[in-house]
Amino acid sequence: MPLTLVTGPANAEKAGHVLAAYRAALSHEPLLVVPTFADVEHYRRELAASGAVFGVGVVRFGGLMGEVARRTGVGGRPLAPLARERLAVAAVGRARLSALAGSAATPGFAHALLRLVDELSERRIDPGRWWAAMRAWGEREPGRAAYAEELARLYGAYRDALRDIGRRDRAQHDLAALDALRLRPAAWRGTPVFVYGFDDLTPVQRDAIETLAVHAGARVTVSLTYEPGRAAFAGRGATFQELMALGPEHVELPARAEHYARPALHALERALFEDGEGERPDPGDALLLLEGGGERAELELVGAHVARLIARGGFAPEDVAIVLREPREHVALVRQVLTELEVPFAIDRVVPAGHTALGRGLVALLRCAVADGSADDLLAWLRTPGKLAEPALADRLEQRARREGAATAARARALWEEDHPDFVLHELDRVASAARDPIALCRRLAAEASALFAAPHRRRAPVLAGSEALDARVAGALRSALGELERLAVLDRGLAPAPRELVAVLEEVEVFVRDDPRPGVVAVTSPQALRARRVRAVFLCGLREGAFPRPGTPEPFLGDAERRELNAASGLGLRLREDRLDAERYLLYAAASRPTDVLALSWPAADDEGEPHVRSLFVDDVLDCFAPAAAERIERRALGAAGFPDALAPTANEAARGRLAGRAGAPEPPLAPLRDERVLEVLRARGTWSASALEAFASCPVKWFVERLLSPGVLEPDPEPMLRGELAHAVLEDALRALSAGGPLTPAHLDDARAHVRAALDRHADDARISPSAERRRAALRRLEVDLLRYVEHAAHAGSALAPTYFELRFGGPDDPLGAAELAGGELRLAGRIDRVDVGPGGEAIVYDYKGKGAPAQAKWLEEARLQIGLYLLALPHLLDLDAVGGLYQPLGRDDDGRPRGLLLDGADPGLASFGTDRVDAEAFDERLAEVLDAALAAVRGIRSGALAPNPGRCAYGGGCAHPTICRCEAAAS
Amino acid sequence: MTRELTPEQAEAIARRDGDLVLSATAGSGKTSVLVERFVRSVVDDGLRPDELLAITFTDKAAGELRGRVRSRLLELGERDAAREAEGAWITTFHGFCARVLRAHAVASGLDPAFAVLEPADARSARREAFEAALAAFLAEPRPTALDLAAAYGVDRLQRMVVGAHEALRSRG
Repeated sequence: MPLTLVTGPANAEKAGHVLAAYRAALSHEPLLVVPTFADVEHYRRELAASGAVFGVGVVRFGGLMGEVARRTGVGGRPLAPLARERLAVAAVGRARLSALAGSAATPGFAHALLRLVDELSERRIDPGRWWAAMRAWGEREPGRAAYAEELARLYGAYRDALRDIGRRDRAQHDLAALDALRLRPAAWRGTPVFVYGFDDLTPVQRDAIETLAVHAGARVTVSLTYEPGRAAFAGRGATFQELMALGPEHVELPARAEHYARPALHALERALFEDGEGERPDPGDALLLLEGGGERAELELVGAHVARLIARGGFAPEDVAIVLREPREHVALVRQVLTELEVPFAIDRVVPAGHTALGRGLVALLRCAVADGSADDLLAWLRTPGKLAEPALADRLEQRARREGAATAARARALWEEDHPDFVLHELDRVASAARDPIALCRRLAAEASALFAAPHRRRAPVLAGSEALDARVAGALRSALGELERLAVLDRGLAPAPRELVAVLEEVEVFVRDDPRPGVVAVTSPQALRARRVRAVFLCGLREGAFPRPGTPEPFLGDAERRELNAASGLGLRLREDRLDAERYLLYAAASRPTDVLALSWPAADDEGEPHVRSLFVDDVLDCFAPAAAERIERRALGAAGFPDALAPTANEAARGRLAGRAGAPEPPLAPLRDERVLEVLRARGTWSASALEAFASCPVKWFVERLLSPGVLEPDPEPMLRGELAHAVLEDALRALSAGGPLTPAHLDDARAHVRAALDRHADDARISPSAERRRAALRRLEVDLLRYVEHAAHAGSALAPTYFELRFGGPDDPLGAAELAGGELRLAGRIDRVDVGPGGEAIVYDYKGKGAPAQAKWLEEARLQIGLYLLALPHLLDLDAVGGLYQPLGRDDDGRPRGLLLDGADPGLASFGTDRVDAEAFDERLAEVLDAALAAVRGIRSGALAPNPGRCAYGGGCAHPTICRCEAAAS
Repeated sequence: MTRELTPEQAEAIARRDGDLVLSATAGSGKTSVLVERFVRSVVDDGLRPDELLAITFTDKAAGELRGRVRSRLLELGERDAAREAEGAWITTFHGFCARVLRAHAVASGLDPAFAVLEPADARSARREAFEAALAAFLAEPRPTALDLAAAYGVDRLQRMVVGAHEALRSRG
């Protein structure tokens, strides 16, 4: 028998045995078959290091199958994955589903179907056998007959669709090659084959080994990590038995203690998952237990220890591996944490094209051109790196689109071309035009992908790195996908996705970013990928319930119970999926048995939101192998911890952060005052101050600094309450001005007042875009109409003898009709805008300021830093020849009590419905105004001095801090 | 189980006929009884751990329960059963339902790759659903619809609708 099976535990020198046999067979140009691209590189180098260069062939399993196909003359290319998926979608359409129709309409159905198809194909179950098995299964329980029939029909429809276009999928192609080799075994020409590093074998791989060894007579050597009877290898038992059934020469290699620098780790390899009756050594510092308060804290703790081993433990980066059950699920966090800690690392990742700048741009272009693209889509396309020579143009478009409520791509495009008439976005028209034909659309988009990729590099020949290298991969992947779809469309246009479907297809195109382990970097990898590597330290992370061991994923068409039933009845041999523990135990064993010096186990006690996690029982399985004291030595890092103690800090920054974090409870240093002399000079030179600015400063100096002095451009539409307020002012000005000739507002004027309010609202409704949403805008306008009608009703019955006379009275500004009011002997020159002044026959006047709901009583003006009305009362005699007898905040949005709040002189407008506590005698009246003036003067002095003490209690609308990123005192406010 | 069982606990563990409700104050050993009942079902009744279903309130509680079952089985020298208990159906209601749905996703009319929405995604989906419902509601030719939205304000109306939806959903 030319088959040799080499088994043994981890680190039993199986690789040495296999490679020695490989080198001995070099004259026959043998093939070494390994699982991954990284393994191919690794073993090529290892063989070259021992002098084996010529005649060396190291391939993945796909390469072996390609060689079988080539030698047996099985031609054609198997259908590529994306085209195959389209074919599955078409097959689902053909299958006339009813029982499965709901699920079949979902985006994940075709993928799931293809997984089932692969399983059936690999097990050589043809549609006829599947149909018979399904029918028999359905007949045993009539309630599932329709389900079974449709499931049978689906597989048949897929195979029919393949036949119709004259292509094979990967499994069919491989099996056709193996079948051809069985018919013509001499075609293999006796090339020896060595299979090393596979954790398990798929049915096709086992088929290939049998075909080569048994039928083609090739010398085949297979290495398998396996020891009979050990729980760690229970998941490999079936594969071992199947290979043994082929009658191989069996070489059993013993465990090797000398592999390990620390005997405790050898003891772990021998004892993991065993009965634990032997000695349980204390591992000392060969075992680290690390617990993070959150997922980030866990990785930070791991990163710090990795950095410590490299900096102070004599470990090279490549001696260390960080192992996660599914590294791809943690790529972003790993990259962020290890980069911050300055740990060099390598991690493979798969990025959906739609998550990259270039992919997002191309998809957005397509969506804008053929689907219901949004303004955000247009911006995403324009922001593809290099698309615009001046990226700020996109920012300006975004600002305009947001503030003007342009939500669709078409409206945003119109805004763009209005601003840039010489920069018409012709690409949109070209893609839209190509969309009429799937082949033309694929070609057009491939060209656009190329153009987007090339845009930043025009007239340059850069060596690509970082995000540019990623863009190159993305452009390549997209072009490849579009080429695949174009070829499919050539075979049958109906198989190509419609333009809207193409959006989703392109978004999900997978871009594989290889980052192979190499000298000088720490490998971040999976347990499976670690098996062929030599490492001194392994950090096995994410050991929590639900992550490692990973729960089984049921097959969505047929659960394990159904599969057992089918297997028993029809002998299909379908795989059971829901009990993965044996397989997961092997993965733990594979990772825990690798390191020679240090094994670190880490887990998060919670997620980063604080939701508790539970430590994996795999940690207990490891601890069962050691003395109980080992379990007590857990190092912890709290959720949200900052920095590290000096002894562990991987960088100077982290040490500094750690020292700062250690000063628990220390108050934040106060904000420094403005110090730039040029700014202070401007503030000192300013002569006129608006009442609202002074009120803002009195409320919170930082609020004034940000909103009044810095006054940044606003990206979002103004808040709805502000826009509602502006609209209310305009409507009331129009309506009350129209009535002003009639004297005070009384019930007799009410019908006219209502009519004027409605007419003014109609006139001004489009002036303010209260919300980009049409429905919210309608609701807000209706609400405003009700509020204003209720207010005029209240005003008409309020009993005032004064007539609304002046509206939106502006003073002190450069274009205002009235000059500034000079107060306090000229120390304060005041500007402002008074909403309304009502005047009586004797020249007595009341100032009104409109509010939504909150109208403060005069007793709270100073406490709440409400200065405006008081300042207007002081200013009025300077502006107009009037006697200011009251100032009131008029709530417009209250439906329970419409009376205004503020300050009224006793006896002023006696019929006016008001609050008794707001009416005061002349002395109190003057005293309150003097206090307001003092507060205003203090504000001016504060501004001029550059003072910036935050006042979070009254900064934001409704209380709290409006600018916590500057003040860092949000917590204090609450 | 290291501490002495009370007669009530012992009866709750031993009884096999019919359903059983165990009611007691906090800290009185309900979980210990549950653990022992689980373990006895394996050791005395010959059931495999994956033939039992235990449901508790949170993932953390489920994990702790699993750990206690494993420890107790190890204590009794049942190493194989302890290993199997690592994959036992000790879970939450959400976890149990998700597992059942995953095994029958197609028959249930679900996307085979369905995922439970993260809270942020759920909020976003709720917001989109509400905006769509609001548009449909206001498109109807009846002035009371607009008055309702105006009276409560759209944001408050959204909170009320979402609250009602959650209350109804939790009642099935």
